[in-house]
Formats: sequence, C-alpha cells, structure tokens
Amino acid sequence: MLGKEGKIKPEDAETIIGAGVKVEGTFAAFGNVIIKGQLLGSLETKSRLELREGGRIEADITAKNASVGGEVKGNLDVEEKIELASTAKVSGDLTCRVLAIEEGAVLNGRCSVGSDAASSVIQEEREEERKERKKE
Amino acid sequence: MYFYIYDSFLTNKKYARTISKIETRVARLGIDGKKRQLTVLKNVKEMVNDMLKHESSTIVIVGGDETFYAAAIPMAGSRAVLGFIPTDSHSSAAHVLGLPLNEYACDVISARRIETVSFGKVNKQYFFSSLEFTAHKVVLNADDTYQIIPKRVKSIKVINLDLLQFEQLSEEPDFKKMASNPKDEYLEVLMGTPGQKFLFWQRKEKRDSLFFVKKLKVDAKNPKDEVKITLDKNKTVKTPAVVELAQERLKVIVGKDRLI
Repeated sequence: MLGKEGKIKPEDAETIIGAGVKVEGTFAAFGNVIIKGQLLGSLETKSRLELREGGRIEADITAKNASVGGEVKGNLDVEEKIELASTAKVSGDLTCRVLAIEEGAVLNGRCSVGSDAASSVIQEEREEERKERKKE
Repeated sequence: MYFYIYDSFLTNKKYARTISKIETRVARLGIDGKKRQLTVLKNVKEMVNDMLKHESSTIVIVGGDETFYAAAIPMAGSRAVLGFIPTDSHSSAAHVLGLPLNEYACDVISARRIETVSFGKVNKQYFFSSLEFTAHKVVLNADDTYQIIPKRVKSIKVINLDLLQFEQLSEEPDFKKMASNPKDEYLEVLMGTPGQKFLFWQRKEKRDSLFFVKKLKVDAKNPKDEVKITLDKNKTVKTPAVVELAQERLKVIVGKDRLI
C-alpha cells in the first residue's frame, strides 16, 4: 500500500483502473476505487467507489459510498450514499441510505432508498424464497 | 562489524573528495570497518556472500541504486543489516529510505534506525525494488480472481520498494512523495501511458492505473511470444512469469524522512 508521506493507509489506499485498462473478473478492494476504464464481472469495496466520466462498469457493485459519472450496467448495493452526476447512465437497481441525482443523469431501474433500504430488499427476497418453497 | 562496499564508478577521480569526506565522517562517528571496492572482476553478490560469513554484520553500500539493490538480493533472509550511502542526487532508494547524500548519510547509518522490508519474487528469482515490462503484448492475472487487460498502456511496473512513478521526471509531481510500502503483504502494480507532448523525447511516462496485488501472473497474449521482464534494472526473465512476495525479509537502515 502507499507509503507514509502519501498519508494513505491500507484501508483507504486507492486502486485506480485507468482509461487504458480493462478489468474482467471478481474485483475486491478494501480501499477507495477510482474507475476511468472498464470493469466486467463483479466489484466489491469496503470504501468509496468513484466511476469517472468515460468509465464503464458491467457488474454488480457492493460499496460503502459510490459516486457515478460514467456508465453502469448492474445493480448497486451501497451502504451509505450514491451520487449520480449529470453524465451518469445507470441500468440496474439501486439500494442505498441516501441518493443524490444530478440533473441530466439517466437511471433505468428500481431504487430502494432509506435507512432500512438494504434490510427491506433482503426481507423481500427472503419472502419470495419462502413463497417459492411453499409452492414446491 | 561494519563492511563498506564502494561502487565501481567511485574509482573515478572526480569522486575522490566525496570518498574522503565519507571516510572522515565514518571514522569520526566510530562506525568504520572493512572497505572493499567493486570492479569489473569483483561482483557485488560474491562480495556480500563473503561478508555474510561474519556474524552480526552491517553491510553498507556506497554508490548507486543498482548496486544497493544487487547487494540486497544475497542478503534475503539473513540476520545482517543493509545500509546505503547514496552518491547520486537522483537516487530513488535514497528518497524512499529517507537518506541524505554522501557524508551526511553516515549520520543515518550511525543512528541505526532499522526497518524490516520484503522482497519480490518472480519465477524463483528475487527482486528488491521493482520490475518492468512493456504492456502491449501481455495479459495479467491478479490474485487468481481477475484479469487486467492493458489496452492503451505502454509500460507496467511491479513495485516492492520504490517511488510510485516510472522515472524521476514523471509527469506526476505528487507521486514523488508516494512510495510503495515494502512492509505489507502487497505489491503495487503501476501502469503508465506516454504524456501528450509533441516531441517524443519529452513524453514522460504518465500514471494510468494502480493496483495492489499479492500474486500476478504475466503471460504473453500470443503464446508463441516471449516478453522480457527487467528486474531491478539489471536482470531479465521471460514470460510466463508469476510475481509474488517472497517470505524472506531484510533489515535496512532508514532515515527519519523515509517514505515507508
């Protein structure tokens, strides 16, 4: 991880996927993640995700916070806050505690927002599973 | 016991005054010891191996980064301590370890502030600082979980102990303050693109991507091709290669202004 003068500890080190790089697979980071290039597969970070304009993600995302300025095809499951910039294009469901959408952002998907959002989505899924079991 | 290895270029007359000042300082601080001069016929590996036969030795390299990195390799896993007196103002190792130049570094050696750092390993060969290879012919597999496909990237550098930049004249001034951390269990993978200057010799490498990995497989895109990987700027290995951290560690003398 980054050294002393950079003041970045392992838990908040920044992974950068640059514009000249494509990543495919299960990508898990414990620090902040900045994406200017492409990512396909799945993405999980315990910190902040920053998808810059021109960046593209085709993956289900789990993060603590997310700021989206690029294109996302997949579901975003965020613990705290999702920020969609005017350049953002999201096709997928959003789950978060706080959602901020700038004018011009494109969103195709369901939103579950609020302090109980994450747990309510899980409960819905569990109820659906129970119903399916009863039918069987 | 202190051993001093003088780099081969220090035999040049223009360094005579610098050497004299270093030796005076070393004697004044009471840390003088046996001195050896590197030449074309005497390589650093053999010299270090001889010195390691003595118990509790401190081996100090006087000179440039390449000799310092080369001296570290045979010391992997040993109890000996490695010190460095840099004589080049562009020394990356000096910047990372917080060492002043020439005779001023003797004070740091005398203070003996010690950090334990890791080694990198590629196909059973050790590297201490970093390795570099061209990006356009390779595919990288990180930690057996994801693939990194360089598309518009020129160079790739895997770093154990170095600044997070390609050269001293990097276009990223902030990166001069950032170094990899050789005390953790990760290697830093830095990818760079040429800067957008009209004249090609002014195009310095610019940071594009940065990853933290425990294990990196480097394969040529075309299985018939072999890509050269340069270790510590002096050795080469060819793909396919597996890059990871070695279990061995090394004690290094550092200054208070170190970046690690």
